[in-house]
Amino acid sequence: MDLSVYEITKSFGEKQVLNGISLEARAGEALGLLGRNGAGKTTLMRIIMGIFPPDSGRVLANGQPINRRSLNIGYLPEERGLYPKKKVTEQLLYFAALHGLSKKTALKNADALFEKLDAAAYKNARLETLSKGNQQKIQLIAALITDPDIVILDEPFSGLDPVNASLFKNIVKELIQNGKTVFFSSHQMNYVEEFCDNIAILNGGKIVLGGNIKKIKRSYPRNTLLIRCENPENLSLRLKDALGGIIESADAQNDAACITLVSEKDKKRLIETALSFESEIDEIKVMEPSLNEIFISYTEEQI
Amino acid sequence: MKRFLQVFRFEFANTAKNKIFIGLTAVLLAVITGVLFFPAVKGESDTEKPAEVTSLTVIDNTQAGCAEFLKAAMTGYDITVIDGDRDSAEKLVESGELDSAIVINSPLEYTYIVNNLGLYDTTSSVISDLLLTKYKNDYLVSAGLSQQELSELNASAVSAQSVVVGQDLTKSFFYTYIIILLLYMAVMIYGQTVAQSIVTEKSSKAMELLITGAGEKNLIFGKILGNGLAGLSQLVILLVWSAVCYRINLEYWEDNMVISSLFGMDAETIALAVLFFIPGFLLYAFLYGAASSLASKAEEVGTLTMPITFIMILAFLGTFAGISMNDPENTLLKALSYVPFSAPMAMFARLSMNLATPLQAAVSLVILIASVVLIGYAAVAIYKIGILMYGKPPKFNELIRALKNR
Repeated sequence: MDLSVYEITKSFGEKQVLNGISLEARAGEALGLLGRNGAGKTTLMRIIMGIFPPDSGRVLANGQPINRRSLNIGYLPEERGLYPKKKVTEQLLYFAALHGLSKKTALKNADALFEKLDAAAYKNARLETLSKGNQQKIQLIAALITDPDIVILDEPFSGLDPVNASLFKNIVKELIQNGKTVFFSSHQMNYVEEFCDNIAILNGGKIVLGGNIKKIKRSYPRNTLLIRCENPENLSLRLKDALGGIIESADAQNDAACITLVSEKDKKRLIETALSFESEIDEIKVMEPSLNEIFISYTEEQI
Repeated sequence: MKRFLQVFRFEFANTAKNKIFIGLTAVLLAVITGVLFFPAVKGESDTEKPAEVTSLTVIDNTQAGCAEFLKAAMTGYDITVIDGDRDSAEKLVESGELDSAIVINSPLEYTYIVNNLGLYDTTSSVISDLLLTKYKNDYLVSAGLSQQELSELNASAVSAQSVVVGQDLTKSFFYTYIIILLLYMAVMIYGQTVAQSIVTEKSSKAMELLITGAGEKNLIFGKILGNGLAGLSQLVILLVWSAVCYRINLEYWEDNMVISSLFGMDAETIALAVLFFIPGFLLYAFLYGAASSLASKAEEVGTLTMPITFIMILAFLGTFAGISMNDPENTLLKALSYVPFSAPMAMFARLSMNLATPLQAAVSLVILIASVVLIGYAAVAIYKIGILMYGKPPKFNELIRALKNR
């Protein structure tokens, strides 16, 4: 199921929150929605969920206007919320029933998810007696119990310990493998890089950067090389002496020499020279900006 | 419809399975049982107790046989005649040797000395009556009336009978009052249950999942009707059990006008009460629902629902004042019976006391139902906005603006 939004605008009172957002998520892919606090990520997700309508713009599923009655969308809201005083299974069945699931199917799906999330022990506990991480597991089960085609996860990893985060990661990976369309927002860039092929960075109600992460990274200048070797200081000095004209800067970082060229074209010459100087080179790679750096450069100034 | 039924079932079970709700029902059942069986239990132990005798000490300084006359006439009293005067009697009462004393100075003048005068102490008026009778008798005898003529005169009595041609208001007044009180309490309690349940979902943030699953209309209607039915079931259980207890103890309650009139209500009156109760409950439940959807925390519900509670109290007090007035056809009651907020109580009161025509009742009911539809529509609109609005509850003009921008 492909999901796309076109030219979505939304304002609350005087405040324009979304100002012409268009993006597309394909089946079997995860789209990372990035943006600083208050950038409009949750508003966009709520519009996709149909919690409230956009002021203008369209939400399409497989190119057709979305029909949320016939389509199951799994939703993990940022504001986690279930009934604190109710038993876990009881409320999961209620949410599943509201989405049109039979009790039998709901129980079967829930059991499989309890198993995967290592949460079977809490089936009959009252929600409020569980720890925060375990409550979040139940929240994820509530989102996935209908086996939805589209899954919207608003900050799924916030507040999880590393073990639980890894359980969540496995589930998200499985969703992508099973051809689900995953919308995903997070402030933890390592997770975004791990799952998402595509990202959209929101700032000031607009998408300031969108597209395939690899392509975005390649679009940055590729004139800095990292050469990991035993004695990086020595290597960078020698390279600077030998190739002074084509090198913009050269220094040593930790265990690697970091050489910035005036022009990308001289990469081959630099590598050959380095190999001739040092026989024990462990790795040579073009330095790419991290997603974190890209994110900061696009959102540092809030529009 | 399917989703509405799911919400309805969930909310009904939620309230009906609630331990506090079940506990309250059990306590109320126990209280009803206790009250209605009380005379039966008490009756048996009562018969063994002898009637209480009040002792009274009389000092007669008249030589006219007043003490003897009182002794003969006051059968419920144990009368002792002693010698003395007012001072000595006062000392005896003060020291606690005597409970009370009557010092008769002349046929038409006496002093009643008592340590503590109780609110229901009728001794003084009984003695005044008797002394006056004796004085009149003596006077008539001295004027030449024979003893036989005198006893004939004293035996004469006026026979009176009141015939109620219209409605006996004294009888319907009691059950009308009780039904109105029940209506008032039920709307208040169940309305606030709805309010609490809405704010719980909002403050626990379960709302986002619910809206996407069920839709706002199904949620608010399911909640109000689910809670309403749970409340109505509770009322029915309590009333049916009361009726059963009453039937078992019929002999003890038949003479009690309040209780017997309540259980002697005809089916028509009960049907009217239900007919006005349901839209009345819905009206207030919608208001409570809309108001509580604006609260983010349970603590804010009280403040937000206060105006509604206030209207409800005014409607109740107004109706109660209306039916308590000397002229049952007063303008206050008539006016209140058409105002939707008070109509369920006021129109029911007029109907049960036979003071309104079926046409008037129909007009009132139509106004009431139209208001329920209107307020229901507004409540859903407010609820839709309110449940996604976190933070401080919006001011009235902010709410109006949000409704317009919708």
